[in-house]
Amino acid sequence: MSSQSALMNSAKEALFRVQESDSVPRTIRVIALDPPSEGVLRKIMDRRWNHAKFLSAAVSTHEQHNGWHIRPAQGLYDLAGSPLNLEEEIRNADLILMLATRIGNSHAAALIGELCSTSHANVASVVLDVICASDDEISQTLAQLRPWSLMVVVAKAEEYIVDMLTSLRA
Amino acid sequence: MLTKEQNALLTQTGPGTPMGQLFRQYWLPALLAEELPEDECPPVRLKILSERLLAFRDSNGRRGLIDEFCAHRGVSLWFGRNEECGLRCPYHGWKFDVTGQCVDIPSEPEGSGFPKKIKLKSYPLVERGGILWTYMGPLEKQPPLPTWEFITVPRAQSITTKRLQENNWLQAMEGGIDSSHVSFLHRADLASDPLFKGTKGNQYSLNDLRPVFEVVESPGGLCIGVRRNAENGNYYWRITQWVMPSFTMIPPRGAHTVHGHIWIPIDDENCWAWSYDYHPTRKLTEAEVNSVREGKGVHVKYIPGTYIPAANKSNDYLMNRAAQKAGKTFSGVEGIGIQDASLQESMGPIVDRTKENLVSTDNAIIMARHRMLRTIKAFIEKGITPPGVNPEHQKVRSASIVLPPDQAFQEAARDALISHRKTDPVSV
Repeated sequence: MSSQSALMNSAKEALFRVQESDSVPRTIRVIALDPPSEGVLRKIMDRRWNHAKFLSAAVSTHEQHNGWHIRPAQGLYDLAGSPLNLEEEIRNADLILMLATRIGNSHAAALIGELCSTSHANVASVVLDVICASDDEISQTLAQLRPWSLMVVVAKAEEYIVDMLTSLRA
Repeated sequence: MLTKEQNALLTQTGPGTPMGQLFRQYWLPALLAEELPEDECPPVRLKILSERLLAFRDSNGRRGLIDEFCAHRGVSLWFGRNEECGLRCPYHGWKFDVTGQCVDIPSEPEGSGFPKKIKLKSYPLVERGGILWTYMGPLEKQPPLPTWEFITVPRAQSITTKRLQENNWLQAMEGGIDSSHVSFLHRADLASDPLFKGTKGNQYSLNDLRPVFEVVESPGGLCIGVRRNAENGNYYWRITQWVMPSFTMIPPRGAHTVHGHIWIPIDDENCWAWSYDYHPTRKLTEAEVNSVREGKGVHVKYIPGTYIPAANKSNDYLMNRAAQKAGKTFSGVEGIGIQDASLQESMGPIVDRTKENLVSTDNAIIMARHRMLRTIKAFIEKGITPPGVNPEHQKVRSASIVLPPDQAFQEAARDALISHRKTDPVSV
């Protein structure tokens, strides 16, 4: 007689796996820390997402006509340029994903990181190495993010953000 | 999660499939050299990337990997007679050499030339480091032979085994880069397994159950760093290597041997888990070799005369609930290799990745899939050579190291992550 495992591991039995959804979408706040990473979020924000919200803590000096907004001070904004309450955004999130390039933003990373740490919020970070950064530059950005993040990824393609968020059902 | 289409793309490796074409760009382990031990020994049937093949060693010691079936009436040449530089089909006497070339058809008039028009599909079979490697891609793209350190050190410094695993290659490989499961599934083995126990690094691993992860792309794949707290505010890093498509090297522990895996699809529902242990600078001790033979470390005990694990799905992996309850094993299954295999096989032959709920600490898996999907696209659309084919990408090492908190592992351990001849691994 076959063992239960031999029977249950078969392709035939896999057809009987419960097909009901076993999760609800997680609320993910993706926060760009610098202008290039904000640019990446602008490219992907209009895709179909469940509960992903795209924000920026970048201090942008880019021109208005490029669709970017000049911000007078550090803070958290949505991508239309409206200011947001950081504490509230963190409180309402299952995951905070900080996104940066070689430019980074140590002030924002520390501010967000400390608040997340106090709130026991889960933080992951992605450093996009898409603009030919040197090892030193990447290392400096990593150093800004590492103290606060449970997971840090250095990715060479900006499509990684889409793949990562899709994988997390964002 | 992946879409149904992405899951199919990565898990199907038969002829003509995109992932199958990708696998066919690499030298792949096909057999252990011990499976063809002498000239004119019995041929060996094998399936790899969903192709039924036959390996044999002729009377001149040449090895070949050919289509299993006779070109005449489709008989398995496993029944063939290995004689005088060829394998002769016992049905009507057609004879093939190691390149698959038909060299004799007894029913044809002598000098008819017809045998020259018959040739079975064949692939090269080259011995390196006790393994017979094959390349199943187009000849014009055949890369240099593999240069993994575990097959280039003297033979006394390395040992390789293989085992059948009854599920798709991808879920097995993903287990190899899923560093977060070790503190749970294998935790009891860190203290007891002869190939793992007694290192300072194990203490760090067991003392800090909330590791922090860092994933960095490397030329051939990924470096996956796992950080735990050490003394004086320092960090203990364990750095795993993944090289495309399916090579992994686990971080070493103390003075123990270094180990890892290569997962090779048999078909879409089965794979070979190749497992190696080696040391770059010294011979393996008798005790280490015996431990491997006894199925310790990442190896398994076999059903005698086979490469099928003694604990397998047909006997419920010899599940021992008393040992599980007593904490001798976390899952009730004994042995690191079978602990992994039992859970990965329980996912079903091809896990449905549309249903999974990954978390941020699964980013090594997410990144590996991302790189493979990107690589397939670049390879299929533009013919770009995939990462891991270049022998330089294969000169990697895993490492375990204690670093100050302000140092990035990819910089501080840069040298430790490259294989240098006759240097010790960096290991804690």
